[in-house]
Amino acid sequence: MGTIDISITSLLLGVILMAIPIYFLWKYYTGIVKSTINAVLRMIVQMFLVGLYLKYLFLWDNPWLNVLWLIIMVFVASETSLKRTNLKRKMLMLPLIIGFFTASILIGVYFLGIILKLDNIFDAQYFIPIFGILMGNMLGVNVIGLNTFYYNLQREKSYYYFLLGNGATVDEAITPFVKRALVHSFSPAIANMAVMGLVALPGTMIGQILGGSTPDVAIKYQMMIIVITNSASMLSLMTTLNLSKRATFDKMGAIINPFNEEKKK
Amino acid sequence: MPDKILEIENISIAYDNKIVMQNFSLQLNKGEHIAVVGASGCGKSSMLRSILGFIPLAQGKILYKGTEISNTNIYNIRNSIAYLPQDITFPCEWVREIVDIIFRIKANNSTYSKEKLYNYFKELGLEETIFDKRISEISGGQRQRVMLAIIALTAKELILLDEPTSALDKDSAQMTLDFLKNLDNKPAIISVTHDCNFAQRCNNIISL
Repeated sequence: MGTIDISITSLLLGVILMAIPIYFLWKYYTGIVKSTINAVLRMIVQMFLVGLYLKYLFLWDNPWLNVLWLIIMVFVASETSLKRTNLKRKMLMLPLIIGFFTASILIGVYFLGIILKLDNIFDAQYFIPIFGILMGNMLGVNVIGLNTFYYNLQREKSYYYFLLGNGATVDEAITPFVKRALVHSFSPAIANMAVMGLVALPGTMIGQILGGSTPDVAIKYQMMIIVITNSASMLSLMTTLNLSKRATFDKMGAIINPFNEEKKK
Repeated sequence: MPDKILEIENISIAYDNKIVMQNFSLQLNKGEHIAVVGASGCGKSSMLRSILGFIPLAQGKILYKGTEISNTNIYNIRNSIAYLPQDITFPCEWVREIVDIIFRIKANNSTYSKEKLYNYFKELGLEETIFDKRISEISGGQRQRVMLAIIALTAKELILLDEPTSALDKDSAQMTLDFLKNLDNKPAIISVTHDCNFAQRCNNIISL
């Protein structure tokens, strides 16, 4: 069972469907028509570029090249996290890199080597999509988690100092803020997990079925993808938060503002 | 000879190269209650935060029981301090949860006597039932007294209070003062306040 290719003409015919959301966004003066068209155009260009480089990664299937791709992705994800949260580079860059790298290596290698039992874990067919989906999920969780944690800590610093001033250690005093960051960043994933297969068929599973896999193989992969993305996301967020404490709190436990000056919230 | 709890020696505090307090000194003994008064922005609250190590000193030193406060001993020293800032928003719904928050801190021994808390409530003119009320249901003055009762329950040697009577009427402020004076462990207390009546009834007043 192979996958039917989509020709450029068919692809353009498909993209025309975006006219439906764009029409209603225009009709109700939402002010986001321009950014929507811009997003569609960016998606098309970016996806063609991704298709191009993935084509060569799969063609060459070189372990060193695949690892280099992972390293580049870790840097891109760290940079994107900083940009989206507006956190200071000198404080958060290294914790982010270590967090992304450690979590993706530990969970990715565990899945490819122990669960799938691959002889060659660097096989591009598995290595690239698995590490790609891990990076994407870790990025989303880190952006929400770090932003929630540091934003609330700045906004409610009197509560943090109240705890610290009554004998709490930094770890004890940040516990309510870590709790809120975790709830905020993991609630969508937990809610999705609970209704998986009932409300919607998840992406990995659809992709596999379209690619020719049988549904029983597709559901197993889907479950594993959910498990490894959640595990890696939690591991990377907690690693980043813990490592960033050295830079964002001084030796007495006082908060050092982690946001760039232009942050207005 | 009185037990010296806190000695502030010639300290200056600065924010962004702007001096908010200069050459300030103070000595506080066990069981003594000092009121620090002064105009808004003169550095009263900053002084309390400096004692706790939240704001670095530009000059001078602070000694707790004869030992200079530094980043190597600050966490141990904070175990002996109770601190009540002026404005604080709790991420919880019920009064009883505030007690849990305080006693979840390892330094506060993790257990407390509810009977003693209720006695403190009574001494501060509060009903026992306030323990089971929502924080949003109680007034600002009741909240201030509830917080005082809770931090007094931790029985620390030094209590730092930032505007402890700002939401209290004259009688409640007097009740609060009597309550602090009668605490069993005779803590040393610094109250930063705008309430002149309250300040005059403390052992000593320092005007900034």
